[in-house]
This record gives sequence, C-alpha cells and structure tokens, in this order.
Amino acid sequence: MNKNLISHRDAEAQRKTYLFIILSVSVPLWLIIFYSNVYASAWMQTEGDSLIATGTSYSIADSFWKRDGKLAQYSTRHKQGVYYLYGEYGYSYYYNIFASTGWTYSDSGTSTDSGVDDVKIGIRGRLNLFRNGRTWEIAAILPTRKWYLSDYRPGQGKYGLEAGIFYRFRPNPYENPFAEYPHSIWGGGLGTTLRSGGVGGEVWGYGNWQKKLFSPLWKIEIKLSALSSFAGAEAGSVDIYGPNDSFHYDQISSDISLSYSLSRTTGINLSYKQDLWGRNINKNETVHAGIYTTWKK
Amino acid sequence: MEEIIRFWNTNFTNIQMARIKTKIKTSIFSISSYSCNSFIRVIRVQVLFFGLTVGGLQAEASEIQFKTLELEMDSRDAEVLFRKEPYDTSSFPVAVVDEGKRIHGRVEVIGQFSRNFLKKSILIKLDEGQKWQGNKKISLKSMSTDLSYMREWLTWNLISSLGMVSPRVEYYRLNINKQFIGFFLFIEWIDTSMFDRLGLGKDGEFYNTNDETYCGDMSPDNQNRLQECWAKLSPKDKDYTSLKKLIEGINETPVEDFDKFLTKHFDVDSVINWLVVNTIISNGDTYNKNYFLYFSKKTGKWVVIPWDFDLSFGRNADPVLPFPRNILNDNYTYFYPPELGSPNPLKEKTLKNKQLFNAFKNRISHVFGITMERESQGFFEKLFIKDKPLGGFAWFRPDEFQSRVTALENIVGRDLTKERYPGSKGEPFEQQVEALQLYNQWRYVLLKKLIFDPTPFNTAHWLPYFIFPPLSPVDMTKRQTIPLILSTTAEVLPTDKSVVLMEELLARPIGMLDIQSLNKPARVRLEVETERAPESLPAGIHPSKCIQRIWYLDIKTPDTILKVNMQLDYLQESSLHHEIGEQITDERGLSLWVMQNYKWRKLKTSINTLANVLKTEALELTSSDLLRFIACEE
Repeated sequence: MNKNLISHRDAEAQRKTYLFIILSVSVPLWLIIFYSNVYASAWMQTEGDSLIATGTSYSIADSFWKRDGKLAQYSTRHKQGVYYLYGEYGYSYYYNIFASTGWTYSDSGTSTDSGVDDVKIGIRGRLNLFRNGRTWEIAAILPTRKWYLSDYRPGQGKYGLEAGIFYRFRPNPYENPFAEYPHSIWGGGLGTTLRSGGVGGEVWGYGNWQKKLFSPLWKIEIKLSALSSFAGAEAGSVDIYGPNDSFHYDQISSDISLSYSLSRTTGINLSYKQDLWGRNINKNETVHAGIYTTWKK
Repeated sequence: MEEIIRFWNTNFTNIQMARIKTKIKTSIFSISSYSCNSFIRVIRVQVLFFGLTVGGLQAEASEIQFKTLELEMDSRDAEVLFRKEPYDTSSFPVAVVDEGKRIHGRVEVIGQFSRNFLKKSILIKLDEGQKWQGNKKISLKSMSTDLSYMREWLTWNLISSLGMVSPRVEYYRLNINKQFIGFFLFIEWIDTSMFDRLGLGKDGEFYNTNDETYCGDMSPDNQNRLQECWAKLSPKDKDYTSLKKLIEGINETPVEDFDKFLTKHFDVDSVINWLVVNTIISNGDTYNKNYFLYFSKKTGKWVVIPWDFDLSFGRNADPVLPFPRNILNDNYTYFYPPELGSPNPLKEKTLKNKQLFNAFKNRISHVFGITMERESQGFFEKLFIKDKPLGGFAWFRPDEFQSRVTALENIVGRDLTKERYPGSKGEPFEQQVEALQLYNQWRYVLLKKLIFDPTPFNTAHWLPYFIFPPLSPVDMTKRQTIPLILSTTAEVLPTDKSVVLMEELLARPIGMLDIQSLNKPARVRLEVETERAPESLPAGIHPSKCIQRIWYLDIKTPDTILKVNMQLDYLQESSLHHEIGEQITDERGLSLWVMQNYKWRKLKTSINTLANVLKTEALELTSSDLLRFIACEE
C-alpha cells in the first residue's frame, strides 16, 4: 500500500468537482447558473439539448492528514493531472442521461502511473416538476481494467453506484417576469457512493453560494464540501492512506470558481480548490480549467 | 363556377384571379364548416352567402366566432407545459380531438416575450402526414401581453377585410383534457402552403425580417447585409439576389416614378394597405421588422404581409426604459402621423408619390366610411358583374368599430376569470377595452382632420414627410417639455349629440362633449395649457400631485345653459415626454377639480389610465361661467 499516492477518491472528487463547475454554467446566460455539489448537477437540460464538457485539473499534495487529523509532511511532492470528458443529453423534459470518463496521471515523487478512469453513466431527474435546479441523480460506475491491476488505480476496479439530490434556492420566474436576479443564490446537495466487493462507501454533501459579477456573463461561486467514508472500512484507522479505501477517511474542502460565457452556448471555467481538513487523506491544492458547449436538437 | 372563371381568366390580373378563386374555396369551406357539428358560436353575422353570380358578388362574411379546440395529453405534461421554466423548449405528445378523431403530434411553447408569463403561446406540430383543417401546424397565440385580447384579432380582421394576403385568424377556447385553459388566437402558419392556398403558388421566395437585428428597413445602408437583416424562409438557400434587386430598385427609383415601379414589382394594394393599417392602428413597431415579403412566381409580384400587432392601438414602446418596461408600460399615443415607425424607403416613396398617396388617402377614406372604394375589376368582369365594394368599408368608423369591440367584450369578458393561467399584469379587462374604444374615438377624429380637412387657411394639415427639423439639437435622453396653449371654439346645436373640440392648426382633439341639454345654439370654447404645473390649486394639494395640464371651458354665447358629459385627455407619450406629476403614485386616484365662482369643487371622475382620459358627467355651465379644471391625486 503506497501511502504517498494521491488516492482515487481525491482524483475522482477533483474530476467531479470540475465537471459540475462546468455543468453549472451550461444554461442560457441570463438564467442564474448554479454550481452544484461535488457529485450531482442541479441542472436539467431541455429535451433534445446536448452538452459536452472537457477540462483538466492539476493537483499537488505536500502533506496529508493522519487518522487523528494532524498534518504530516510527505518526503516528496505528490502530483496528479486529470483530463476529463463529460456528456449530457436531455432525453426528455423529465430525464437527462449523462456519461463521463477521464484520464489520470499520478506522480508520487518516486513512481508514476496513468490510465483511463472509471466510466460513469447516469440518469438525472427532477425533484420539482416546474422549477429547474432541483434534481436527483443516479449513476453506475463501471471500472476500467487498467486501474484494477495497477497500484495506483483510482476506483479500485470495483463497480459502484452513486446517488444524490440537489436543491437551489431560485426565485419563481413568474413572480417577476424578465427580472435579472441580482442577488446571491444558495444551494446544496447530499449523496452517497457505494462500491461492490465490500469496499467502503462514501457519504458527501456540499453547500454553495453563487452570484453574477460585473455583468451577466461572469459568475463567481464559492463552495464548501465534505465527505466521509462509512461501513465496509476496517475498524480503526492507520497513519497512511492510499488507494485502499478500507480505512475510514474524512475530508472538508473549499473551492472558488469563476465562469465566463463566451456565447449563448459556450463557456469556460477556472477554479481553485483547497482541502481544509481531513483524516487519512491528502491535503490537496488543485487548479482547474474547463470548457463546455451546448447545442439544440 | 369554374367555367366562368376560365372565361375571364385572361382579363384579370393574376392576383385578382387568385383572390376570386380563394374566395370561392373559402366560401365552400365556410358553408361546410357551418353544417358540421362543431363548437362554433357565431356572434355577429353580416353576410353568409358568397357566390359568383351574374349581377354581382356578395360581400364576404364579417363575423366573430369563438371555436373550441380540444386537446388530449398526459395530465402531468399539460401542467408542465405552462408552468415550466420560461426558456425550456421541451415538447410533449398531444392529440387534437377533431370531430371524434384524434390527430397526434407534439406541443411546445413558442414566442419570446409571452413565454415569460404562465399563459404561453403554443405550437402543435402534427405528426408526419397528419393535418388539422388543412394545417400541419397549429399556432395558438396566448395574447398574454394584450389584456384586451383584441389587438391582434382586430388588426387581422382589418387586414383580411381589405383583401390583403393574410393567414386565417380565429379565436379559440382551448380545452386540455376537457378543462378550459383560456382564450387563444389561432393564426395560420405563414409558409408557402398558405400562399398556395391563396393562389399565389408555393414555389416563390419567402422572406422574414430578422427581428433581432432590426435592419429590415430596405435602406441603402442595409441593402448589402441582407443575410443579417432578413431570413430567407423558402426556398432554403442563401440566394438573396431577388431581394437585393428589389431593394436596390426601391432605392434607385425616383419618387415621381415610384408608382410605375410599384405596379411593376409589387401587389400595389398590399403596400397601400400595409401603410393604411399601420396608420389606423398606430403601429410604429414595424418597417424595419415585423413583416414578411413573398415573391409569387405565379403573379410575378411581391406581396407584403405585416406581423405582430401588440404595440398598436395606442400602446407605445419607450425609448429609454430598460427591457421589459420599454414594451410593458403605460405609454399611450393616438396622435402620431401616418409616417410613424422606422424609416423605410418603400413607405416613404409610396407616401411621397402623388398617385400612390392619393390611393393611400382613398383607402383611409374607405376604412373611415367617408367614401366607398370598389374592388378593381377587369374589362369583362365589369360587363357581367356589378361592381363590388371593397371590404373594410367604415371598419374604423366609431359606430362600426365600437360595436365590434363590444361584441368581443361580451364573449371574452364572460369567461375571462375562468382562464387557468394568467398573462401579464395590468389594468382590468374592462379598462383595456374602454382604452381601445377611446383610442378609436380620438384617433378617428384626429386622422380625419389631419388627412382630409383643410386648415382655416385652406392648406393641408399634413403632407407626408413635410416637416420642419428642429433648429437646435434635441437631447433624446433627457425629459422634454413643450408647453403649449391650445384653444378651440365649436358651434353646438341643441340637436347635437356630441361635439369634438379640435385644435384647428395641429388637428388635435383636446376634449369631447356629450351634450345632455342645451337651450340654444351656442359657441363653446375650450382652452388647454399643456405641460405646465397648475398654479392655482385646492387647499392641501401640491402641484406635483397633479397632471401638468390645465383646462378652461366657457360659453361665448350669452344666455346659454349647457349640460354635458365631458372627456379630457392628458399626455403620457413616454418616460421623457409626459404630464404626470412627480408625486402622483397612482393615476387611478386622480380626480377632476373645477374652479367655479372662485371655489374649488371636486368632480365625480372616472378615469381610464391606459388611454389617459378623464371623464365627468352632468357638468353644467352658463354663459357667465369660466370653468377652470385640473386633475390631481389627493
């Protein structure tokens, strides 16, 4: 077990974060677009509309939190780069389907590895029939063989199931038609990730705040997220962690992102994420850049 | 019937022939639809029968019908359709129930503006091979931004009465799963099928102005950016050559030759009628947008089809208020001259050309009920058929217009509260309808004076584009005030029912009196000080709580007693040009006050805040009175 490796869950968390930062801007400009939680998107595409997003993130970790929450230094810097690809399709007004994958490169300072990430295929639905920004989501995680064999494998080569719900506090558009909502908008989400083979699952949540800046084209978002592993882990914990999710871990992260709409259908996003506290997990700092585009049927 | 048509074929213009054939088809359809077991409520029928007979053609029916359209769809979809996010474009399966048959398709929300209200315009696209009453698409306009529910229908009614190429337009009560949703306006989808139905062929070139760039004004500046300013709807190619040649021709032809140019290239009536309709309804939201052009290969001529009439009958966009208040506001005008709207050389040269201007005036006169025009006929048609009046005669004459509006009010008003989803917010329906009627009253007398009556100096009140430009620049971003004193005297007889007090030189009505009683012929004078705050006020009222206008009414004839109901108007043209006092919080709270015998007295006042008209009843004055009026909010 390599305690110096950035774990799968970090990589996965990072990729999903950026995916959903991007996804949060994938709606018409004048609508407030909200950044969702790490694992679920709050936005439903219109029937027949499609979205594709891609981007990259780069993380470094010079230290990690031990089981008692105290920070310990790594002897070498850990690095990880993730390239992701995400697609979404409005199957109907009521359901969207989405899929994602990526490619991860990891460097622990002493060894490196890279490979295709797990493929995720999911379905998103509405919690509220009339208001967007209130969704549920279920996704199947399909492991890729490469990572099953590698020490560095994120996802541990296990099948998984992810589920979450999301809610944004948006005004009723019919109370003040045409109004550009100038105020902040709050949102949040809760979810869980389960894995086969007795591997520990996760429960996660987040809260976010979002506001337009300067003009309707710019948006800033600040998010606080947390995750914690549960049942399936060995009792107690260890001073090391790695891609082995058998030991309990926790994490609290924050990120700030800036989005800009290049046009009605295309936008870009830049973000910075920092882990604030954890147990049995890396203290990562991550930067991300992504781009998305949407098109109608 | 077909034989008679073939006999005359060579003697008619192609457009005349197309119209005759269409009217025969229409009449057959109309007759058969009446005999069907459908949900038609015929409210007012003038003439039902249309036939091509020796001795004359009968006038086409002018009637108001409210039909019912039944839809069936999943109940969840039915609710989501109207209540979902405004800009979601999802569609849902639907079945149109037509005489027991189910015609399947999909329904979606359409329109840009109206989708921001719960009551949305919808479009039903029928499945391949399916048709409903000959239509593959069913477009239902919600009328949610026009709380009178009448502007679109009235305008299309005028357009079709004049014989213009126009879509079929009908009111429908929309039911979904047997539940009443609301009143919608069915407007036939304007595409080449419609032109084919109207005898113009479906292989022509069809263009629409691009309503996002507002440059469909045919100006020289925009004639080299046609793809930006116009959408070519049919055929779907990028070849704008014909349109380019047309616009170049419009710009290059001198005014004095424009009648020949228009006759050669256009259905002249479509252009004249377009200007007439826009003049009558005071539609300024056009000439650079909101119209179609169709070149018919059958006739070899271009035809204009106007579109979108929500900013009409007094409603006015604002030049400075931000969206959407630039559209949804209380601005109101009835006094714009016929040149209103964006500059456009087709409009300008038509009005400036002597022959075409006369044709324009004659058409206005016809619609005003002053002189009747006849439909143009070919040589042989004249031999066998008595000449037929052109449709639309007296359409805008107040008795005709108001009875039409009243008929609509009676039907719509009865079930309006049962509509499932509301449109935009605004004054109640009754006020909206009254505003239309007041618009008609004031606009009719103004245009009649402006266009037809000479000034006391035997000169024209108005000639097209005969205006004096300002001597110094006007800052259009700042509020303007143009204080004037307008004065007029009218001769009133005891037998008169009403009198319009018109300022003679500007041809502006400044007041209207309904005569209740008058003991002898009298000269009545009304003087109005505009755009100035009243100086003399009742105790406790501040000038900023008043309309910035003062009226004076007196009788010039001695020993006269007059009792009247009176209408006075005030100005609210835009946020930069109005007479609303700064501290007026609610115009509905305005009352007329009269100073008589040095004392202020509050009058029982009714106000239409949309048309900016104040009314009071049973006002009595004698020769010794000079009545001073102000309107204030307490």
